[in-house]
Amino acid sequence: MNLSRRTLLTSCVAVASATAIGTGFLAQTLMGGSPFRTYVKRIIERRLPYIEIDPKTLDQFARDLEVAWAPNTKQRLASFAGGFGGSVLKMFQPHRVDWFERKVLTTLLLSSDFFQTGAKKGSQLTYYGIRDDGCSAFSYLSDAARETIDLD
Amino acid sequence: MTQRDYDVIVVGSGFGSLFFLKRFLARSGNVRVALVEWGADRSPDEQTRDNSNSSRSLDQCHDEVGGKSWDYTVGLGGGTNCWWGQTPRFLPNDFRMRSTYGVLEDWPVQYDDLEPYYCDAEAIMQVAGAQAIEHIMPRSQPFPLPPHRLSTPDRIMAEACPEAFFPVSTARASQATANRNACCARVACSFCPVNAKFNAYNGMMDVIRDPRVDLFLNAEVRRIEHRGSVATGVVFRQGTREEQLKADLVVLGANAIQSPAILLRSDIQLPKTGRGLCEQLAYGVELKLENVDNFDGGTYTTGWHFGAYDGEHRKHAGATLIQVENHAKFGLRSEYGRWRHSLPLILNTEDIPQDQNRVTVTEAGKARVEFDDYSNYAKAGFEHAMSKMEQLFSALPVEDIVVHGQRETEHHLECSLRMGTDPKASVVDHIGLHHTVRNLLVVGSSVFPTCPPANPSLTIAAMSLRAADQLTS
Repeated sequence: MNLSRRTLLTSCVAVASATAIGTGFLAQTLMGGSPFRTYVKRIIERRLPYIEIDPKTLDQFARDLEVAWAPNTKQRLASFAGGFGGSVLKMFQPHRVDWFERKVLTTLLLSSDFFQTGAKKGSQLTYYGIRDDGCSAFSYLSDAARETIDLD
Repeated sequence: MTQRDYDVIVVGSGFGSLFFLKRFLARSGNVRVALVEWGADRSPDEQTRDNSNSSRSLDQCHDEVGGKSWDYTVGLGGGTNCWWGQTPRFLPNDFRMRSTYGVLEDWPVQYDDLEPYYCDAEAIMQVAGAQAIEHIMPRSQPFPLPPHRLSTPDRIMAEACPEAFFPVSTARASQATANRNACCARVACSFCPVNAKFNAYNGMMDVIRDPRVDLFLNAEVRRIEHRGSVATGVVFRQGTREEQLKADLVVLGANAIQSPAILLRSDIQLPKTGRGLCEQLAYGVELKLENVDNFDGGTYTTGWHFGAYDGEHRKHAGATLIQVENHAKFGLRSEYGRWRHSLPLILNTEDIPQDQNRVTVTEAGKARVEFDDYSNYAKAGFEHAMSKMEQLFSALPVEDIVVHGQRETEHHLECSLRMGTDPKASVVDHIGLHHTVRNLLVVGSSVFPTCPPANPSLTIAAMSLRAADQLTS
């Protein structure tokens, strides 16, 4: 079998990444932590710097999300890769990671009073519990909706 | 083995079977019908509770080779349970690809033949839609319900492209009807939480509970009994027991995987039996917008762009239907104030039925799907649509176009028992009657000669209504 230099290098990087991720995951799990929750909190801090959220509330959100999304293997894998800064998935499928991170922040924003209170910068977020209703909130509270629905 | 006699046996209880039966019963007097369904009778509430439309794991129903997944519901009502309620008609040129573009095949049924049946099917499903779409799909009747409210990007597009961009037509009710509520835009249509989407339970129970119909549940049809060119009945397995039913007419409406498997197990074979299984090649694409908010429409998908659908490109590249999503399929954006500046799209491109993509059966008689790849024609169609994307959406302030990836399946199974005139190149005739077993009717999308980009359910329903009319007239 001919093994090109590029294939060899790619294989080595893949094995090293997998080992690093596996070791990190194992270490964090043994210490009682959760890579998924850690990653979720990092996403919120990094991508929504303009919101204020109490750390305990953020932790609760991460726990709730972990339960809600537990059956989804792909999301778990994405969390492992993302949780260690990194990254196999980001290297090879950046849009997939971006999609996952946006789903996380979308769930928080729609599960809170953020839009109901005017989406103000720096306002303290009240979290209601996981709410998964697509974007129907926008469907019924928009100007377009008011034209066709009697909300009174 | 016990045995019972009927006039008609209908295998499967999805769109193809139920729409056939509805018209057949309406036009028949005192007939005895057996409706044989592999799955169970599980109400929409039970399906939601179990988080599954299908009463059987599909691993138990078929094997897959080739890495592509296929999806369907095994249960009373079949695909009416899991579908999302999209009801586009096919375009007139979808039925005459060979004569118009020199590729694929012409259907033995043309748009004008089917138009009255499209209207009937839309009336039964209480479809919501906008009359403007008659510009590309001629209509003899108005839609039963008004269209859903467009989102802001949809409105801009509909105004800029009145000949190519239209509100969707859909069996998700836009306002309450006698037996359904208005859509809540919750984007959970497989388990519609407000009974807005048409399904067998809110729209076909008059057929299923008709006193002339005996319903057999959890009954897997193993084979169609036949003597030469005459079908005499079916044998089904219920648990460990086998039962035989006799009838003058057998209607096969399982789906495009299970129907050919039943024919193969029954040794009712023609060269194309099971060959050509396909569905649309689909991608998720996002247009990032500069300053237009999305997600304020009235249902989960609100607009269709037909700008990459019909035209000269179909000589070498498949048609693409662009579905505009009214929900944050790829998430809200994170930049402050720009959360809704996103327009998610699903691009559905037609594929060509290819012989190597086929249904066979294992030694034990289980359906087995062998899938090699989508055709180059489909891949070229997607590339064609992407090359036109900026132009098609030039009315919107698009700052970036992101391809989020290929979708695993569109949950459409088509073309494995194709309709045509030549028994060497097709399996059933212009009605759906098997070329050699003449009292065996096949219904459903397995008989489609081609695989247009539009969702198949409305066309399945219209074809079944027409078949019932033709058999009873």
